[in-house]
Amino acid sequence: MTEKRLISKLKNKDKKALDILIKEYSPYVYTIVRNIIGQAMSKEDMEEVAADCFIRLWQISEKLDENRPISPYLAACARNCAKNKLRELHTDYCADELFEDIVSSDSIQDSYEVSQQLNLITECLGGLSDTEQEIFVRFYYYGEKLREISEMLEISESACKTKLCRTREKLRKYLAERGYTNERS
Amino acid sequence: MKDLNWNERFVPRNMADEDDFSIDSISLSVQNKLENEKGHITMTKKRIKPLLIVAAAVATAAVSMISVNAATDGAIADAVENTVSKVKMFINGEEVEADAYLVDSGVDESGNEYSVYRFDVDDDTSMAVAVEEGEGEGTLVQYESDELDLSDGEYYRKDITMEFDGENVEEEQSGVTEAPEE
Repeated sequence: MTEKRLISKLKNKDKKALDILIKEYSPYVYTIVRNIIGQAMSKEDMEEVAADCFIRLWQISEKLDENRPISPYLAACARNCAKNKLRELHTDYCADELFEDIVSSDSIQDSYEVSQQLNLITECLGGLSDTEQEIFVRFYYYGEKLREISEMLEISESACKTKLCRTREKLRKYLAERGYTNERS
Repeated sequence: MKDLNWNERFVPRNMADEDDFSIDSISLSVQNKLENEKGHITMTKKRIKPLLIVAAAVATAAVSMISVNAATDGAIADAVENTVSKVKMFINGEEVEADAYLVDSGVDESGNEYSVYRFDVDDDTSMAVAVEEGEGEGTLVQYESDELDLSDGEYYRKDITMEFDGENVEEEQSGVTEAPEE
């Protein structure tokens, strides 16, 4: 079954579609959760966080777009769920705040706006260079460390950080032009 | 043209595998969370309360009614609502697609929540109705009736039990009833 078909079924609250997505994307979601939570929790707790992520996906499923990949939604959900769990443990997650602000809404009522913002982020990143895209995705979506990313891309950590800052500014401007502002900016 | 599938090119490093975690645990946890949140939703087939189909043979506007007597669980009612938002009807062997409109909802005398959907058809004699999921896969309800001779305001009513994913439709009772009020 194609992903498009799965999303369509998920939008119709088909639990078999959700089950298929869980089987297919659990490694992806769990990896992101693990990257963000690190050693702060047990495997079982992180599995719970991953489950929360799929619950969130289920709750916002009506807002999903069949013509867009589902992985950005899952990555954002995984990040937010992991971050919220860390907050419950009073553990700070020290990532840059912009992306947090964009996708950190816990309110289901905000799901439409969140999905629109995620779509805009996807569009904006699609116009950037491969390196800029990859640094952003790995840092903000996957919770990977700058040091790890720079080693993989074989660039210095400071260069990696500079590219990330520039990408962030481009994204901030892109969103602002479309009516989304960042309170902290 | 912008590349909207950029994310597919970047896979997380050190992807977790089955030694790191249990997919079954996550799946079970999701199932439990949904059950706790919504009542009694399960991940597998769900038999819900009788589904009431009222197919009309109204001489004037030829209005047909689908009344979904869903389980008390609001989520299932929502799902049914979504599912039948697009219906395909087979009238005298000819396929007709139409939107279903929610016209009423409430609680019947048995305490079951129900929702009434309306769709319009151009037929005042006999019909066969098949309600399917939005994209035509997984028939939820199939209903056929012989030519009926009903007075205005009377509807042919058929109560059935269905599997949520559309299999094993069972008829429980049928008869003539008054039309639900819109």
